[in-house]
Amino acid sequence: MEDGGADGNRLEDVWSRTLRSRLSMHDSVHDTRRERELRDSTRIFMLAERADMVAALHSLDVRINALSPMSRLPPELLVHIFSYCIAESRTWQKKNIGMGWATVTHVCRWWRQVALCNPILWKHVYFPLNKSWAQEVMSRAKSAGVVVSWIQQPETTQPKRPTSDLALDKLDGIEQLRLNTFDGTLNDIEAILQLSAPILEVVDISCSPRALRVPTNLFGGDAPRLRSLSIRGCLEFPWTAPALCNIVNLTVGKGNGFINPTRADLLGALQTMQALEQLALIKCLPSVSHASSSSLIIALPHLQYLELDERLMRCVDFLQHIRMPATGIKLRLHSTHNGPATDYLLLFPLITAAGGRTPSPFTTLSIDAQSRRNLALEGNRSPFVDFEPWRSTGPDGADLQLDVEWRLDMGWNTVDLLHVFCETFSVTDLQKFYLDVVDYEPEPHSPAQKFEYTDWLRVLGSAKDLWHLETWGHPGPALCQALAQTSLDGEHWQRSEPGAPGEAFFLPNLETLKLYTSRLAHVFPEEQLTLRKFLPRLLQMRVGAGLPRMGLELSVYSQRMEEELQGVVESLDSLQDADPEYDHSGSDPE
Amino acid sequence: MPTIVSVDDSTVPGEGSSRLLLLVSSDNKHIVVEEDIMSRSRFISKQVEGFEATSQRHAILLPFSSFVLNKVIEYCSHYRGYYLLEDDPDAAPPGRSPVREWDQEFLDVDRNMLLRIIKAAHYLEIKSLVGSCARAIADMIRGKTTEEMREILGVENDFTPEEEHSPSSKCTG
Repeated sequence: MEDGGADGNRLEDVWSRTLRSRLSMHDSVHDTRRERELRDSTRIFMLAERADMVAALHSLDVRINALSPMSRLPPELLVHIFSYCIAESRTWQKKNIGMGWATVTHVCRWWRQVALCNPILWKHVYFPLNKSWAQEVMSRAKSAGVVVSWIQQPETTQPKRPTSDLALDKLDGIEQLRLNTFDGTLNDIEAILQLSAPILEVVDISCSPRALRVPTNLFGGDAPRLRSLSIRGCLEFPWTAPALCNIVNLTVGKGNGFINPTRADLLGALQTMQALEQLALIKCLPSVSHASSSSLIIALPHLQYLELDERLMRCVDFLQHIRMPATGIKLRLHSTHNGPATDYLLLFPLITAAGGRTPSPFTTLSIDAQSRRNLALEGNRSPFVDFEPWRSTGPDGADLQLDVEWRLDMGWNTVDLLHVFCETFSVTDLQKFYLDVVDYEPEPHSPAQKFEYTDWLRVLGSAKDLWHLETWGHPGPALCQALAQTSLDGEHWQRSEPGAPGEAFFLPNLETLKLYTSRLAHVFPEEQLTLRKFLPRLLQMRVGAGLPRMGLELSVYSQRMEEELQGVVESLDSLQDADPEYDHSGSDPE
Repeated sequence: MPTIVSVDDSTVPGEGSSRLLLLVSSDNKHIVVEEDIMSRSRFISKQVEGFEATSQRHAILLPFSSFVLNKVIEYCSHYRGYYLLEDDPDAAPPGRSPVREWDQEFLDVDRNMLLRIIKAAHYLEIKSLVGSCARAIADMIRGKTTEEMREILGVENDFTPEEEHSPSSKCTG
């Protein structure tokens, strides 16, 4: 028993130890809960204390701001400041501050309150924004018609975003829609273009490389305020969509895979757009081979601007089938042609005929012609020598202002076309003249001609109203000579033998002379002439002729500006010394 | 409305064609200025019209210091006789029009002074000066983060945590 008792004691000890341990564990459980409760209550107390402190700090911040002159600015002044922030919001975009100008709403409560209470500040929505933010912005705009813009720069590093991010599940509140992307992310835009758009006025979409299939039921036929539609990069265009019937400004540009309309489709569609004032068709005129020999001619009675960027013969075909107002048209043609350059001559009578009167109805005529073949005129005889109307400068042409802008990429045909122009048009009314001759030097056996002094004489010799003369590239010594011979004094302007050296140009109204050249100081061996030498001379003549000293804007762009302008500046300084009123600030290089 | 006090003719020289105005600043400085100079201020113009109606001369008390008032007079003197588009009642809202170089130099002052000038210009209804000041302030904060703006403008973050983290304030662009 003793042993048993001893065993029992041992067992009891073990049990006791275990039990105590268990009990101890039990006790510790109870302690932990108590501690936790204590901790929780303490935490709640401290949170409340912290909330009180936060509230106190917040109250303090509010009171501090109440003393701050900036946060006490009247709302109308703040709105004014915010408007400037919006105008410059690209700065935020560049720094990748996602909210853009709306960052100002996070500065303080007063600023946020003012910004949110002015819907007009939220009128412009610049994508890419995330969907929820875009919707928030649109809701802040309230009843102000929203302008949605997503202008993606080609070099952008912004991440690609799907069109669903546009958050345009409806177009109800949108006044203008401007989307310009280069990465093919406008993949869902076709669906958006089928939505009803009751207040939409302007649509400007440009997308590449994937062309846009503009839906046949454009805006569901419900876009009563749509006035301007520009879509560049079309795969298909719904020429007869009802939404286009009130259109004033239409631009259609071809995308990859575009199916050009037939002449009948195009003319039929344009005939329904009687309010059309501006029309630009870029690479989407009907193919001439597709065109039937229809004699349909449509009138565009309100047209003010026509831009055609297309192969020459398609332009010719189109111009044969339209009639435009008799005056005030601005015409811009960018045409390429693989055939004979003489085909360009087809344009001139068509332009007149399309205007329905003579002389030309155009305020601006810009021809950007490119052809790889030279224009050769037999015996310098213009094909228009018998085309008298073009030579007319009668009283009816009193409002005629020809802005002749020839920009021939490689100088091909410049001189020849100029000859044709001069023989065809009267240049007495010429007011602005642009010439782009990019280092034009005809090849040794080329029939193309150099731009000679006599060519300048043809252009400038009679253009006494010319006020803007601008040249790009380098037209050779002829320009030096022309400038050197420019007379601003009518009394000294005498016509001797045409083209004879020394004959002067009378340009009393010249206000702008812009020379973009890399050869300002280039010396031509045959004449020992440099532009650097003649610019001061021109200015001296102006001073001598008593012409307005402040009236001439002289811009010279050259690669070695400092070196090349040295002589010019010295000469101008001497002029200034002679006449303290003389101001040559316009000659500062930019 | 400004306080208007009657003054006798000896206080305001310039009877007849050379019209002069007496402006009194909040620090009680009396500044005599030609009416032509201040004609850019619609507020002053309206006051002058009022004088003509009552045939009485008055000094115009203005609620800002002579220092600020002199700055405004300097601006108006510089553009005396010039047409500024922004002062046209039909002028378009602010855009990216070029900044006038003189204005930039004129407004190269500290933040508080800039705020005093814009308030004075606002009070005097000189739209062109308000616009130039607004633009100068916008330039100060352009492209800045919220914290940077607060630091520049001397403003505290007075949003409650709830306001600061409300869904409508979040955006990721």
